Amino acid sequence: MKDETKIIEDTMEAIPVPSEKLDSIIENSFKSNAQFRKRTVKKRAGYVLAATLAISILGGTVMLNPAMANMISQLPVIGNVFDYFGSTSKPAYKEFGQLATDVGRTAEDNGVLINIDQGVFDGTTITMAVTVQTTKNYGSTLFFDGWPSVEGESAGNASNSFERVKGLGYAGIMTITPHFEKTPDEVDINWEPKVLLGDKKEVKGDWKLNFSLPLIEPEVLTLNELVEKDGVAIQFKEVRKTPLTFNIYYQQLVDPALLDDLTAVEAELKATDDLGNEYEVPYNGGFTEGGARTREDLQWSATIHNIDPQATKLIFHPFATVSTLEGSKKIYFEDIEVEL
Amino acid sequence: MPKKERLVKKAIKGDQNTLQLLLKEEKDKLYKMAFIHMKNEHDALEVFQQTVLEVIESIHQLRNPAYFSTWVTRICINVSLKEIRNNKKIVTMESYSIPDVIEISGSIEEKMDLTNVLYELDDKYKSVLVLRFFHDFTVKQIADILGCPEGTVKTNLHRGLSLLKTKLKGVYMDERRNENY
Repeated sequence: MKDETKIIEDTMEAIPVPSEKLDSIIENSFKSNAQFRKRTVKKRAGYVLAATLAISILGGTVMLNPAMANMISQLPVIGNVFDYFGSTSKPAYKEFGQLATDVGRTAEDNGVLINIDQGVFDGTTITMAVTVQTTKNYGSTLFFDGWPSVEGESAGNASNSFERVKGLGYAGIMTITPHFEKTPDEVDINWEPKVLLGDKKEVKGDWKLNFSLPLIEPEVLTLNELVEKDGVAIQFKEVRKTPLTFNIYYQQLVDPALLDDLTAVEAELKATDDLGNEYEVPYNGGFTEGGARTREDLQWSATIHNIDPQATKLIFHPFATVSTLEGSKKIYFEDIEVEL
Repeated sequence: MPKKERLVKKAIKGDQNTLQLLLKEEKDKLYKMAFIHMKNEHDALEVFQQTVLEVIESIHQLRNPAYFSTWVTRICINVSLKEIRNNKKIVTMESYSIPDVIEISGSIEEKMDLTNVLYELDDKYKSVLVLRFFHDFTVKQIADILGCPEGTVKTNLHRGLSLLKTKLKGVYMDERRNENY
């Protein structure tokens, strides 16, 4: 008699695996999941304010009129959401409060009131200031099952970053970067999250929010510069500037000979200006199109905030990470310069 | 960051191709986990498909790339148990479509016993035994996967092993045995 653990192993090993069926299920699941999108979820530590606010909990979902919603958005605890983050954990947003469009859309269900305070559409990314009013502690940060979508546009990338605010619930900034065929003058946004999830607990609900944001016309500068090394090239396409954002667009091009099944390539940027300031250049996500030569020929957009107004030039320092199951290596490319 | 974690990180950021490859790496273990609970290919394939869809939908919520394997396994077990609850199936031994060949020595009777005995166990014992002795997860990892205290995992491991032995040999095992898992 073999011991019990050997029996478990033998029993499991004896289960025949229909490998082709499983591969087919995986591949078809991706095809059917057209809404699948690249999402970067940023976590932040909780932030605590001393003030308190009594929150009335109503049953069911309600849509408030703009005046009432605006009153709610200007909470004594937090004031303007962009200003709040701009002066605390996210200085990148300190100018947004003055130039953003007031939205003031609110929906409530199961004791959770979601409010879209303001929004900005810069032609690439939609940035939304959001509060979630609740008396319950769902954890240090929040996530939602169900992302905002832009009517008539295919899903792109999305991210969110929520912080706990005592006396309010949560405040956060969400961004979505759809794949625009042509930049519209206005975007119609629908957001119907089904579940609010935190580190500690979650709640289901029926929240429905829809609103429109006008385009802040960007200034477009074409780049068309290419850097290349060790089988990876980065094609810089263009930058788009608004008073609030600086977006750069680039595509990585990977030699097919470099790729095996599990090779992954990720091109990123850092930047400095001619005054010596350093900037993070976080990407908004990447995507491949049908014409891409390899699955790794991802196109990226990335956004820089708060460029020094005295700077006249940005210098980008591109690098790529090539990962395989054996490890990863960095490739550093030549700098490229962009006149401001 | 270790090799595989970087790929998982990329999948979390939305790279579908990488996620597809990672799922294909996990497919055998996920399917077997589904099969040991559902006891037939048709239902196991349904559970597998549901697991894949949930992973695609929720990958952005995975906070630590190092936990990818435990995370997908948890989804698979949860889907299996939910499916069993929803269907409220009473599966008789005759309706099993479990594999009929296990390459071990012994009598025909013993082979049949060995073929069936793991499937007969209660799901809570089956899950911890498979996670520990087939997937090689630690007690702490199993506790994370099943969302229960480590003590519960140890207890269920101990009882599961005892039940296995009892069923196989008809020998009563002292449940107070202090095993080091």
